[in-house]
Amino acid sequence: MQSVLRSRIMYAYIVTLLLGLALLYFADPVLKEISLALDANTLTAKSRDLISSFASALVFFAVFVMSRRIPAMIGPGTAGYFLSKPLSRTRLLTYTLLSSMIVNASIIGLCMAIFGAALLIILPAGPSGADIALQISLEILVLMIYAPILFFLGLLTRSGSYAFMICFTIWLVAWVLPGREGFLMFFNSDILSALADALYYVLPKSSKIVEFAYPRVSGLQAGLDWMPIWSSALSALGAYGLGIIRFRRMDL
Amino acid sequence: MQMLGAPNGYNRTSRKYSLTFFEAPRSRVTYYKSMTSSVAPLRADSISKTYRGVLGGKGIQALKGVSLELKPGEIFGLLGPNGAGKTTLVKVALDILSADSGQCWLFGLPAKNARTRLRVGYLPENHRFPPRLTGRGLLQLTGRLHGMADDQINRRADELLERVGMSRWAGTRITKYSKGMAQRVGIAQALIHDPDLVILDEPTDGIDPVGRAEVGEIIRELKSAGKTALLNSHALAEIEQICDRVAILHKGEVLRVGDVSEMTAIGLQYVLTGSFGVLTSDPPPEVAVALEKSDERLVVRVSSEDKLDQLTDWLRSRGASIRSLTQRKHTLEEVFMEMIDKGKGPG
Ligand SMILES: Nc1ncnc2c1ncn2[C@@H]1O[C@H](COP(=O)(O)OP(=O)(O)OP(=O)(O)O)[C@@H](O)[C@H]1O
Ligand SMILES: [Mg+2]
Repeated sequence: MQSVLRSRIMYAYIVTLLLGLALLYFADPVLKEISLALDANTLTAKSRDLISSFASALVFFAVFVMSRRIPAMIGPGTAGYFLSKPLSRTRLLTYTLLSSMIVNASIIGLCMAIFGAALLIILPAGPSGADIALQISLEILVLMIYAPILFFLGLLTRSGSYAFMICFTIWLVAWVLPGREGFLMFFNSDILSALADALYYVLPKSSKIVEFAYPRVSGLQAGLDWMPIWSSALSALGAYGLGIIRFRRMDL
Repeated sequence: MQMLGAPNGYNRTSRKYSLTFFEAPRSRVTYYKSMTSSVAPLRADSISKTYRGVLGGKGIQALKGVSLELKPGEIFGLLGPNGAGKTTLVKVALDILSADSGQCWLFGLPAKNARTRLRVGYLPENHRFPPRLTGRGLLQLTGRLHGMADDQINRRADELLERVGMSRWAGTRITKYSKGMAQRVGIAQALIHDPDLVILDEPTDGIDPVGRAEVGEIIRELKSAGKTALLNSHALAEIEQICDRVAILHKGEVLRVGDVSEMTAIGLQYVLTGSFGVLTSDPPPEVAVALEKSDERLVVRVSSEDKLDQLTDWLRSRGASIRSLTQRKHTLEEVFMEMIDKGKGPG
């Protein structure tokens, strides 16, 4: 744990947290004024966006850290050290993944909790503590779903930067896929739309996961949609399985 | 390196690294430790390995059917020019690489079985240990990966850091070490769990002459504690002094395996020094054949060792005086050079 705390990336988290809090502090009078003018729904939507963008910054760092974890472990000179220990590769990968997930989720959770608490104090009329907690959990869930994918990409490319870039691309694609009907119209190609459909089901549905909280937060009691969460969890499990298969076959 | 009694009760500093997940179940440690050790610590059965080229292109065949067997309690040297396949063989034995054909066994169990490595300590070549760790941190992590208890790890870490002369730098990050310093803690981490087989890939690489002697000393201690060691090295003079047996590997094939003393002996040739100017004739052929003769030096070949008494009697009776008598040997280096040159060309 100390080695994590001593690392440089911690400064990034702390700075982001401080920036976020400073932003809230300076925006405080404005927010208060606006909050009087806005109805409850718009206000919750606004604060939701605020939490979202703050979460994005933190998740960005976490993804960065996670993408380097595997390439560092299997890099030349380091692989021999870890693989010569009495742990099967399955265990080694699983333990590394779990420890990485727990450490990153805790750090992000802590930062977000502080930010959420500050928001609660500033906007008493805004979303409730439970709503904020739900949204924070979902943001972290998205990160957890991307963790095995990052590890798999790290095993595949053996490079932190490539893993990061490919993961970012996947995330972008997964972001636009729910609205695929909109642009597929222009192509009128069955193959393309079948491909987009397949991708939609295979890739994690990060945007949809975060939307899970919307009906509740915006007070619309529409049915909660669990499907994206299950299907994304499956995607993550799939990536984990592929990662293990890949790792067990790898020459290092 | 037997476990000494707890020195000055090292106070249990915090568990520094967040890798507690890595602990191997302890029951297995005791189980494997208690197994009797009459089986070969390492056995390789016709191992072949080709590093595949990019996109299935022509690869490099690093090992071509290598077979080897270590005996319990011996120090074994794996020699060969650069690119001979020494590191590749060791990596196959540790399941870091998988062989294309053939099988490796550690203590009678397939090397694919991760648990066999509980009894193995390894110093990788060109290692790069997790960079954020300190020297002591590395030993602690290694101990934990081997399923050791914390107090045991700390006691042993102190002992080993002292042994490799790194106590003063135990709290410094490995990234700030010189090459030889990193190598020293590298050797210490290979020994943390008191392994029965220690594999050291170029252990003296980057270590100063005093340190080299110390490393030699550590390896001899291992032997006297009944451990087996496998050394990959280019320092032939050191290997010659330390190892019981060596294998010479060249272009992925074993050229020769054998006792160091056997390899370096050249029949029964002896070098005598003294004053031989008084001699008017060569020794009688039934006693010894003179190969070289000068006033101070005489090189002879005898048919058996008991002829030596006859030879010295004959020399003394002729008024010659003898100051020393030694068996003539090749150095391991000469043997090595000859093996490698013999029609095979450099690696
Ligand atoms: N990762 C790799 N990818 C492709 N080829 C490799 C790889 N590692 C080693 N080789 C090749 O395999 C052969 C044997 O290499 P190896 O490292 O086993 O030699 P070595 O005997 O340990 O040499 P040295 O004394 O220099 O350490 C060499 O020809 C080398 O080019
Ligand atoms: Mg080598």
